[in-house]
Amino acid sequence: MRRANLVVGGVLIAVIVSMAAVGLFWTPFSPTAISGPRLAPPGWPHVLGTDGQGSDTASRIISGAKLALLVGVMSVSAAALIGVPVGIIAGMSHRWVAAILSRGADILYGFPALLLAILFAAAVGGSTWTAVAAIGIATIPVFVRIARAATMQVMSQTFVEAARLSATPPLQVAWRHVLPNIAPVLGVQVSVSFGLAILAEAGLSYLGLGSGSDVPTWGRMLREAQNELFNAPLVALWPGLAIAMATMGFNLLGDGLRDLLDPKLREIA
Amino acid sequence: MNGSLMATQGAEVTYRRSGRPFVALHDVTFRLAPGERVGVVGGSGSGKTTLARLLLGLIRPSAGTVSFRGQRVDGLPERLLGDLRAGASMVFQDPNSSLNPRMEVGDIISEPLRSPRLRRRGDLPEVSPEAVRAALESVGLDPATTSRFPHQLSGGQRQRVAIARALVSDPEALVADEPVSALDVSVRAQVLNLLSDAVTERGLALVFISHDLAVVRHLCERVVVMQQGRVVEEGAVDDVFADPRHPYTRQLLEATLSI
Repeated sequence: MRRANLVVGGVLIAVIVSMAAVGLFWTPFSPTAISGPRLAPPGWPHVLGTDGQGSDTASRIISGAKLALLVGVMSVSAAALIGVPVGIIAGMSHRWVAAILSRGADILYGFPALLLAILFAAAVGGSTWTAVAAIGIATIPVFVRIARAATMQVMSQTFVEAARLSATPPLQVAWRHVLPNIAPVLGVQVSVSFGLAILAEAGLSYLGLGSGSDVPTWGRMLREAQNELFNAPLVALWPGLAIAMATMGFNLLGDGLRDLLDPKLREIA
Repeated sequence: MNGSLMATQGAEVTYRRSGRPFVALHDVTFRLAPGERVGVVGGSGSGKTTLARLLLGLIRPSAGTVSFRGQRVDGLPERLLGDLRAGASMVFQDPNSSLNPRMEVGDIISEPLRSPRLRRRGDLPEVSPEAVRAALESVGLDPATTSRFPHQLSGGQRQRVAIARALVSDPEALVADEPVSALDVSVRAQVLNLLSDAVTERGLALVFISHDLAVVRHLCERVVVMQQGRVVEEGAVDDVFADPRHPYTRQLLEATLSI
């Protein structure tokens, strides 16, 4: 049963990813145009029904998958690209450099994505990019912490002393010794952060702090469905289900990967 | 200190163990002449490994000095330790942890050759498949081992890789910290013979840390007996073993005989 996480997570993510891939080229109807009566129940041709404007819900869900994944990829990779090197440097440095970097990460940790998103939306107006920036920045400290903890564990191993005896420069130690050995832990964190980023994106667009009103996102669909919650509760179900599937999928995948790893690494991640 | 290759003078090493200072070495004066083979024996916790790490500049003394070829090396930053790094290398106790599990054997062995600081020495072999193959052959490993990962090798083969890495930069001194105690009994003799041959052929100075007195007797000219961070006896191997002065040395010898 240890692999169940991995399999279920993988399947959920595969569904979301294929939806997004299909959505790049084709949706049953235009996700933004009015294509039928308002609040039509699930049936044919509107498989999941229509929303309060009369747009096809299935098309909007498919189109929203694309955006959710885009925001996830952009924000998590930006956070990892910045956070991991900082964490490795902190993990390899002497006490005071490590302390400065870690305290810096802690300060950043104090700014939740929501606060940053409000800040950016107030400054330059909300868009997909401000959502990516807010989520990305808020995710950096997670990667700093985990990369630092994993690096410190690697640095305490004898093969790093052997590298020191070989007069291997620090950059090479980071690249050849540290990075390959902390990569599995980082992989787990990428997966978990990805799920959280999708959830955060949905939250931001629910609040109207993310993508513009012309872009169908799961969060926005949830908010619009709220107006009709007592007339047509199903309209709210679909985007909610999509958000739950994506978030749970990446979390399960992360947990599954963690279980595959050395139990020692499990404590860090 | 003149004439000695590696030396400590009145060295003291203090570790901080959960906040409380713990003295691992008390006032240790140790000398290794070029080409000399010295055994360091003692029970666990006697400070043998600490002495090895001190000699190689992996840790700093809290008092006293450490020198290499007559030059002080204690307190120097890593980038100024070029002479020491180029002239001395180490074989660690456990090849499971001294080899990076995610590096191929060829990369592990050629790591010293790739160091810009060691390359300043000028006479290092080029980083090439030939150099790696020669290093592998010199420790009795198949050249095809070069593309393997450590976990694909046996314990004895792993320690051979570690020895190849230690010798590839052609050092003048080798520190071996219980190089066979983590290995199967069946391969210990082979690895020890390999080490012994390499030391003899290359005229290496050797610091051999062990709790196996028979091996020290076979391999070394001089022996240093340590107990609780202090050197309690030292002298020519034959003298010490024939006529141990310190009660702890006698105890060690008796323990060996009774096995």
